[in-house]
Amino acid sequence: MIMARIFQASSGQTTTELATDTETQISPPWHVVVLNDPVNLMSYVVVVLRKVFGFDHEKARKHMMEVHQLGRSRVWTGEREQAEAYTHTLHQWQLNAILEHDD
Amino acid sequence: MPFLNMMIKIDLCLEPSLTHAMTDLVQSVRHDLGKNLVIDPALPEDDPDLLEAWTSELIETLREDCDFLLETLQREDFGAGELLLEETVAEGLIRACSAIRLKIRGTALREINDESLEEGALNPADLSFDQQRSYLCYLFLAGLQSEILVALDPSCEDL
Repeated sequence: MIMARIFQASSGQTTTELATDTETQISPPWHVVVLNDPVNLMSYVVVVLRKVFGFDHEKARKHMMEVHQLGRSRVWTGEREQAEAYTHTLHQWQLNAILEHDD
Repeated sequence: MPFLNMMIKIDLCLEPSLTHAMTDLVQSVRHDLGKNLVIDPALPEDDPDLLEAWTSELIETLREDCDFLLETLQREDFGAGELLLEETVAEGLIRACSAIRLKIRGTALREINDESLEEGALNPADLSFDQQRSYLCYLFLAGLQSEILVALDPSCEDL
């Protein structure tokens, strides 16, 4: 699909469409960040990260320790829609999570 | 293919009077949680429609989870030894434990600093009666949550 649009653009017919599509492709990624809280247990945070993101124990533990020691950990990066879905799921699990992007 | 819900087993021996006292407190906290969230659903953009949908879904999940917890606390076999739980119920229970602990932390125990709470270094004599009850419930729910967490994921036992 992208190649078809480039081909059309080179013939001078759909330059605007190409520009829009290029903007979509290079839009900055969104990050899901988990913030520290003084209540949730370490083991709870590990289990939630494993369930929500499918991390193995070591990866979930590494993120949990980052949250505990640094106050935050970026646990996922990608498209906005998926980042929103993950953040909402983390809120359902009572974790303090926020969405961030590079702009 | 039928959906298979895994069962987990926990072992709890509790005085019925303790369970009744905790159930009463959970019930009163659940009443407040049915209307408000315990976390701030901070979104990057001011979009009232998104915030409304986001919040109402969270409140709905919270209500269901707290109902799972209350139903479990009111089971005849709760606290009498082995307790079998469906995995989905167990997940709801640990979410409810977190929600209620967060709520207690932000209300009855809001004047207590994080270090004292984390280290369990509170002197009951320094607490009011309501704070003592709430603190007991806070610890009780942490214990219940820990039991379920280890049953769900034994690799968490060392944490």
